[in-house]
Amino acid sequence: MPIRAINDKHYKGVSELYRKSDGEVTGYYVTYRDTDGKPIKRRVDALNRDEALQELVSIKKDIDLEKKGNTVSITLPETIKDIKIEKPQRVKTEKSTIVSSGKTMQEYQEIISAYDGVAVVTLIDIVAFDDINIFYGYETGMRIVDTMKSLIDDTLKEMRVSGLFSKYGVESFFYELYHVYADKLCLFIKNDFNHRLLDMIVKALLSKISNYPFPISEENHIHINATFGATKAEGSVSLIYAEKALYEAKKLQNPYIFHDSYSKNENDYIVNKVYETLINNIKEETVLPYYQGIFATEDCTVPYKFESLMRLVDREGHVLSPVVFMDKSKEYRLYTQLMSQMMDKVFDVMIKHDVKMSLNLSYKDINHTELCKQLIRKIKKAKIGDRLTVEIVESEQIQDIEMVNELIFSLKKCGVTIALDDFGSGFSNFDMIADLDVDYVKLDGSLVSNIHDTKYKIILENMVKICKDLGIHTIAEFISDESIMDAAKSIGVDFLQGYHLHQPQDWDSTIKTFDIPGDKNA
Amino acid sequence: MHSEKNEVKTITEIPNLQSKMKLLRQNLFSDDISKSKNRLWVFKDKLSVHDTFNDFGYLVSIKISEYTAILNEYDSNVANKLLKLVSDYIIEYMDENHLNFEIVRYSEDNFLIFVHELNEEEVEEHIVNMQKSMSNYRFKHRHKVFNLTFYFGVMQYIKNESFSSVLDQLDEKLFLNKL
Repeated sequence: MPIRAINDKHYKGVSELYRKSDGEVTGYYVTYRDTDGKPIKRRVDALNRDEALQELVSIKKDIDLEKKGNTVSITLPETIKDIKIEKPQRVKTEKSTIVSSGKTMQEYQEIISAYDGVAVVTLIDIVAFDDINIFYGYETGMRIVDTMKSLIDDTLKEMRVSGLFSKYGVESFFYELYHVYADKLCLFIKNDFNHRLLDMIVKALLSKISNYPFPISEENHIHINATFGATKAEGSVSLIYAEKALYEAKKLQNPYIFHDSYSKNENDYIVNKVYETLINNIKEETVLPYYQGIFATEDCTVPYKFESLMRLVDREGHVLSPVVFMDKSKEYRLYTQLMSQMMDKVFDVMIKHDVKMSLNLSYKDINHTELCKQLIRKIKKAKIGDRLTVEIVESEQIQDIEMVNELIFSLKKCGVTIALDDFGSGFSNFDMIADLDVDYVKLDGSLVSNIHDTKYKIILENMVKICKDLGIHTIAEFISDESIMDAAKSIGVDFLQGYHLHQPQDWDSTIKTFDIPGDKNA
Repeated sequence: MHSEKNEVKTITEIPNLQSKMKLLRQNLFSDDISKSKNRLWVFKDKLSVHDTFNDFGYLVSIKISEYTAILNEYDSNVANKLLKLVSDYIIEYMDENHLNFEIVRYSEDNFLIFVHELNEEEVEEHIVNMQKSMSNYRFKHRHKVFNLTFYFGVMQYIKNESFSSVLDQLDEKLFLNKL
């Protein structure tokens, strides 16, 4: 049996080199970072894992000493040399070329987009290539890339020789294969391939790659997988669209995604308009908070507090909802600037009017140290902490509970209460209310809107009971009609929110709707 | 005695017949590939015998960009699946925003949406929001991903107004608004 990872945390950085069928281990690999921070993997002589661990500790000690300036020599890891690699047979033809790397992605994009004809671009990503580099060394990693290139080249030639392309009307077949990045190859096919033919090619390549024994030593080999992201276009085919396809494939854990680009221009036009809106709203400070009332169940006429919701305004004056801009603002890294503006505007309202407000904060916001500091500073300055609730949204993304709790306690010191949004959705989560010191939970809207279904009602009823026992108030959102409202009241929810009670409005309209007293500072 | 028995039987069967009628009607007026209504529904339910509107509201005409190119490149199976996904997307958006609407797939990639209880500005704002949010959305069919978008026109219609006249004016707007 070849190298085995040792899962015990105590032996982190140590893996068994080889275990015979009788259980005898023939050696150990240790992994660590050298003085430059580069990952190193080397073999050490040791009879058992404890000895290997001692060796690793001693190596690390030497590195630490060297880092401190002492001259201690380090033995570089032995690279596996003189391995006979069974490379697939390569048939040279003038119609294909393997281009060596050394260019930037931008340069590859220029080469690809300069081609004036129907073409297919496929990005091929070697799955877990970092692991290969760490465990087997960079040299092995590079060798695997080379083998992969030859394998792709040969598979395509085999397919051509077998007459597959001519069967689908492709008489001449031109392609180039680039090694564009560490773990990424780019197959640039200069032909108008039917999508089914492309599917067949990708399936054949996937099968060849996953079945091929990539050698890592004279005796051992490994199997690797690849992910394919492809696109096709007529003239200036975009590498970016292949990137999008690859991104999507990785996200969906799908070995192959084809990204259609027929609506590319139209879609880009709209996406650019959204980007323009984001920039304009930041520059012109036109982020527009909308407010939706949250009502105590015993009085549904006057809101107990308001949830502030971010809206943007486009050039034509349309008010845009978060579904349009929220993801894009995060992708373009513009979200925090919008959020900062939002905080200012909501706090302005709170300074002027004696109302309770709720402000949404995502895990991304909580991760942004400066934004959190700004929030605390602004709360203290405006002295509105006792009327503010911070609502933690997208809680399923929370990874570092400690960090979230740190912020929660800093906020609580200012008198702020904490709410957890979308409770009960997806994987969010009873442990969250146990781990986070929250005052309110908002029951997930998708559960509430199905409250007439007995199963959902039972789930909600029990969620409310658990929260009550823990001393946490519950808010039912998505109250869209009278019957849902009555059902929510019947299970003992404390607060209600939804279109049936109040549709989100800007502050001026909200004042009129609820006859809220004017500016207290005026 | 015998006729009385028959009468009782007929009365008890009424709810059953009613539900069958409802189902039949639903099937008759449903689009065959999406959850939208079909063309027949417009002519039988929405219009009078003279092809004029029975009610009032706003009519939104939506056409999917590059649909023909997609249909030519892939096959009708993929294209039909995309039409279904787009229809689902529109219905979900409209439902989430609590809008009073009816949606029809009027011709291949042309959807008509009848919107009520809103003014023109509000209707347009909703459709712009839907158009922009769709640009972020990826429609997926097996291992193929599509970024689809649409162009649209909005027209107010009133009771007894000619449907074909409103549709002509909407087509002009669609032509002007083509991306």
